[in-house]
Amino acid sequence: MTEVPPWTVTAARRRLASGDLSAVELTQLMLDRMQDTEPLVHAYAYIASELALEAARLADRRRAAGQDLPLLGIPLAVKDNMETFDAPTEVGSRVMRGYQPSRDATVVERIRAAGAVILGKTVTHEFAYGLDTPPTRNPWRLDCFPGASSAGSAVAVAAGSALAALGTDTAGSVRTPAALNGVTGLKPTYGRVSRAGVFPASPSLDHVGFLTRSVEDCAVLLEVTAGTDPRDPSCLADVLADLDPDRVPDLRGVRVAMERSYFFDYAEVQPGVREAADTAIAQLAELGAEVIEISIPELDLMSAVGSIINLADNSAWHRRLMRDRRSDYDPATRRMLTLGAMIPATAYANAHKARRVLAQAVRQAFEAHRLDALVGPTVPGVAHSLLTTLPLVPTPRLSPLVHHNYPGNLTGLPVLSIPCGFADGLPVGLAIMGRPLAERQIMRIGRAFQRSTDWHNRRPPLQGKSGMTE
Amino acid sequence: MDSRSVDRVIAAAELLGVAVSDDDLAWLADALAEQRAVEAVLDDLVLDEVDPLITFDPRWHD
Repeated sequence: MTEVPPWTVTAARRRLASGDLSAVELTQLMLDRMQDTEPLVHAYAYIASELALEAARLADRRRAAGQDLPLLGIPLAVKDNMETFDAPTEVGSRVMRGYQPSRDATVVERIRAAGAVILGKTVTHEFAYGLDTPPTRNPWRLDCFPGASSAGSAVAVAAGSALAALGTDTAGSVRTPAALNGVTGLKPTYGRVSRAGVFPASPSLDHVGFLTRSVEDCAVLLEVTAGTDPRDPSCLADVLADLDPDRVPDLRGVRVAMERSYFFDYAEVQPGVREAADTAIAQLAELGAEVIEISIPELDLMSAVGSIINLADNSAWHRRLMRDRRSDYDPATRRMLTLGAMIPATAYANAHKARRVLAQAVRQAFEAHRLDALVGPTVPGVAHSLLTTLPLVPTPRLSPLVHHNYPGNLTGLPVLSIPCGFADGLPVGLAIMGRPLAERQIMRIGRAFQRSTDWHNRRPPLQGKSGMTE
Repeated sequence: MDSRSVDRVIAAAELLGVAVSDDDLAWLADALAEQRAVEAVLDDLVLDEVDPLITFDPRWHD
C-alpha cells in the first residue's frame, strides 16, 4: 500500500495521535509553507498566525490530557465568505472592509469544536459572485486561472499551506477550483451542512463544501459539520450514513452512467479533458462498476434556469448595499447585480417551476437506469491562461464551467470532484453525482478510484523559499 | 452597441427603479439582450400545472 502522504488530514491525525508530530509543529509547518508559497499563489486574504499557534498549543494540551477530537490539532483554512469571530470577514470586497463578525458561522463553530486549528481566511471573488480576478493563482502554472469562487481554499490545499479548507458552491464554486487545482472537492446534498453565518449568494443553490487532498478527508469534514442547525431551517435532519468506505474495496454492484451529449461531446470540452475522463471511467469499470450511457435531454435547460435564479437572488440580497455602497463594488460585480435586478419576476417564478421539471427528469434517469451515480468531467477544460484577457460576458455564456455544475446545484444532489489525470500539464477533475443523501456511495466510488490511482497525490512543482518541492 | 439600445436600457432601469452607472450601459444592453434569449428558452415549457421548487413549512419552530 502506498504510504499516505503527510499532507492529508487523515495521515496527520494518525501522526498527531501517535505523538510523531505535535499540533504546534504541524501548524508551524503550514505557516512556514505559507511563507514560501503566498508570494506566488496568494491563497489567503487573512493569515491568523498567532491565533493558529495558540489553538495548536491548546490542542496539544488537550491531547496530553487524554482528549481526542476528530480534528484535534488539524490546520484548516476557511473561505472568507464564512463569518469568524476572531478574524475579519471581508468577502473579497471593499464593501465589507473591516467587517469583524461577533460569532462564527455554524460550520466554523463545528470545526473548532472538533479541535481544528484555523490558519486563516482564503481569497474569494467579490461576495463569491463577482467576475473580477483576485490575485490568487493556480500553483500548477502561475499564470493560470485558479477557478472560482473558492479559489483560495483550493489553492491553499494544492499548494500545501492547509491540510483542507472550507468552501461554498452555488454554481460549482467548490468543484471548479478543485478540478483546476488537482484537489478533491465535495458539494454535499443541499441542506447537509448549515449555511448560517455564510454570506448568501442564491439561498436555494448555495452549499457549504470542502476542498481536501482525498475522499477520506472529505468524509471526516462532512461527519464533523453535517447536521441540523436552529440557525438554518433548510438543514436536513437526515442522519449521515457511516461514511467509512473501506469495508467495500471495489465497485462490484455499482452502476454509473455518462450523459455524453451534455458533459462530453460538445465543442468546449477539450480533447485532453475528455480523454482523461474517459480513461478514469474505464478505471471505474476495471474496479467492477457497470458503466452505461444515458440521455437526459432536460439537462440542456439547466444553465438557463440556474442563471435566472442565481442572478435574481444575488441582486435581491445586494439591493440595499448597491443603493448605499455602489461605488465600492468592483465594476464586474456591479454589472452582474444590475443585470439581475432587471430580470422579470415572471421569469424568476417560471425558473423555479422549470427547476422542478429538471429535478424530476434527473430523478427519473437515476431510477429508470438504477444508477448510483452520474459521472463526467467536472469542467470542460483545464485552467486557462490569465495572460489572455477575457471579455466580461454575462452568464450563462461565462460558463462552460457552470454548464457542468448547475445540475448539482439545481437538483441539490451530492457531487464529488476527484483528480483524474492531466491535460497539457494541468489537472483534470472527474465529477461523481449521486442520489440525494448518498454521500457514502459517491465517496465509495471516489475512494476506490483513489486507492487504484495516484492523481490525488500529485503536487504542483512549486519551488518556495525553503526549497521544498514535491 | 447602438444608442437606441442604450436609451432603452436607461428607460427600463428608470421604470424599474434600478440605478445604472453610465460605464455599465453598453455592457448591460448586450447582457439584457442575451438574458432575454436565456429566458425565452423556458417560454416553450408547459409549466401551468407545475409547483415551483420552493417549499414553505408553516409549522412554528422554536
